[in-house]
Amino acid sequence: MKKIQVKTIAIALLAVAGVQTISAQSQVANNKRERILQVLDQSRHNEYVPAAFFLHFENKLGRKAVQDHKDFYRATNMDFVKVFYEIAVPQIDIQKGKDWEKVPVYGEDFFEPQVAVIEDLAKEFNGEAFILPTVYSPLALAHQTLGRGKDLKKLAEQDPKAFGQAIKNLSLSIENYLRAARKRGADGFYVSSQGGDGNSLSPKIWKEQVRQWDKHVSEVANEIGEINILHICDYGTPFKNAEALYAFADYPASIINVPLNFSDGSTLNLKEAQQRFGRPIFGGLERLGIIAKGSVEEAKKEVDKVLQNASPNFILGADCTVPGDTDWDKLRAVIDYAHTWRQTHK
Amino acid sequence: MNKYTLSILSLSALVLASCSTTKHDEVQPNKRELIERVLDQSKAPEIIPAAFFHHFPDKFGPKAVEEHIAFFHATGNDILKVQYETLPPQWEIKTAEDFSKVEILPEEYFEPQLQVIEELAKQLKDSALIIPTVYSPLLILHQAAGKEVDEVIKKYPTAAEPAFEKLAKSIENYIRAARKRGADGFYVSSHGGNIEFFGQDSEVWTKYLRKWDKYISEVADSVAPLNILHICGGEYENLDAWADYPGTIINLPEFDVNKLRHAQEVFKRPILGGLDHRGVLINGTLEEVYAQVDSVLTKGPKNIIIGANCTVPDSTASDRLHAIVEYVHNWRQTHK
Repeated sequence: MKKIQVKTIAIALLAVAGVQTISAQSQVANNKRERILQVLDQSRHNEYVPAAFFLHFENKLGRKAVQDHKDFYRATNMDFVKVFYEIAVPQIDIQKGKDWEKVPVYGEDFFEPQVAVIEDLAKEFNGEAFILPTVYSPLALAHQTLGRGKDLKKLAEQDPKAFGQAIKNLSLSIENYLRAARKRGADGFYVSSQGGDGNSLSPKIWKEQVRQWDKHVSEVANEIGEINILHICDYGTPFKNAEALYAFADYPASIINVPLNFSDGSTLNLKEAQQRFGRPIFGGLERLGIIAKGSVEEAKKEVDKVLQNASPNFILGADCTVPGDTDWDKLRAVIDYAHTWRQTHK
Repeated sequence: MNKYTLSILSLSALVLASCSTTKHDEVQPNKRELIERVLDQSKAPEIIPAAFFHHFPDKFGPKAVEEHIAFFHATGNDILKVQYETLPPQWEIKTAEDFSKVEILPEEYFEPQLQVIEELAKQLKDSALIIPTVYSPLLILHQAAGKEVDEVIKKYPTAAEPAFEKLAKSIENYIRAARKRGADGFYVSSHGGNIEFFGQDSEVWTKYLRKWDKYISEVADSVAPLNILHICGGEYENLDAWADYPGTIINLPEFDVNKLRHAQEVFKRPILGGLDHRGVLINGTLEEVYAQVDSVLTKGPKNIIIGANCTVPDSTASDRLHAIVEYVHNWRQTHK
């Protein structure tokens, strides 16, 4: 068989297999999976800055939710597929501390509609980008259990032991979700930690009843996932200072998604954050700031500021979910801008 | 149908087979990712990669390509390392003036080598990282003028330095061209001999040679996503002194588990190695090799690609290496 025919067959077969063609000249790795993995090389800064933003979609579960995720991923050119967590545990009537004992462990079946979305997205994107489902914290699930308008902090104080048992059961429920999601195509997880900010729970309850089960979720993700992002959530209740944030340095994860502002008025130094966590940092933009409200040009200027001060190993994003009505085209412009920023700003 | 065609068809069949699998937990990640996952030093990878290298009978042309591909498939190696087989012109260097004979070699000089890289990249880039070997300025000078040139270098280091620079720039030409032709990164050999003759603290090394030796790693670092720093064999006083060299993964002339663990701490990068290229890897039974792998993986660095401290003898049986690579791949699942 002549060389040219051989090449044609090889190219045709590769095309059939849907493998991305590679430009020999490309300065960065092949596909978005490899571009994220490259960020993990902490012996040097990553030239290509991956970027990703998240917002909740109109459709939560089912085929339409899958379509929303696909559309958003394609439209924004973001670098991994984050799957939104949209399933809520049932509310339980908790009137007094002891009622926390009613909280059960939810099995894999409970999470089926969520896992089905993950499976569909994995079929679509596996091989192209990492599929990273969002994972809520045991505390977030405790809030769902309680429903709105109730004082979780107070009800936790009433019976710390019963509350601790509920948190444990919810953590084990999340473990069931993680294991099911991994089997169905998740590469790793975007794990939210909540409750350690010093405000949403008393430090005593956090330390004695919650922390180990909050961390357990990260440990399970670390055990079974290939790559995980730890999202240290401070929604509405900022940490006191950077030191309080660094208390999470013993949580496992490949990449750390950080809050940016502290209640004492200080802000996070991204370079220091990479040093203290020993891992690449994801974030840099405020979720309700210019990325949400500003024009494309204003957002790019903000990206300039962030990337000038970013950690060597860095993925651009926000400190949490951006508002649902954020313009997709703007996100696309910012993401494309970030990708080549380090090559164009030397 | 010749071997060349067969290898392409078998590769294509493998690609198709992997894509037809739908259960994600059963899919083996491709070898590119297997290596890149080792870069996550926050955890030990579930599948530990492995790779061994040796030279091939044919140096250039389709046969060299064929031999690289056959070895890659037969061993199950996770890296496609391209052997460096280019020889420099011969220069007689006996006096200080003779160093001026050394010239910068242009890209074209490396064309046969580049063709091998290009063809391998065309065929296997989707399956594995294409990592050509790069020699050091000193090693190339040894090839060009014989190892006795070390005596002349020691005597006239200031006259030798421009020659080191020209050789470093020659290697730069090769690296930049190879990257354009499909290399994902480079296996950069540092020093390449006789450090004990000069002494690691000698002026020859610290003042005249080291910067041009390191320059190669810097060029590789600036153009490619993944490079392996290989510190060539020799009697080193202190390998930690190489920690300021760039390189994504470190391959040392060491196989002692404690020293390798120490190296990951000092270099802050994953390690390639663990086995002695002249030890039980070659002479022992497979069980003895497995025992050594067990020791490295239980006591050694957390982020490691199992390999040797240098090339193994060309006569090493590929199926033996394949058995070791498989043992390493399955190690985590079989040692829980």
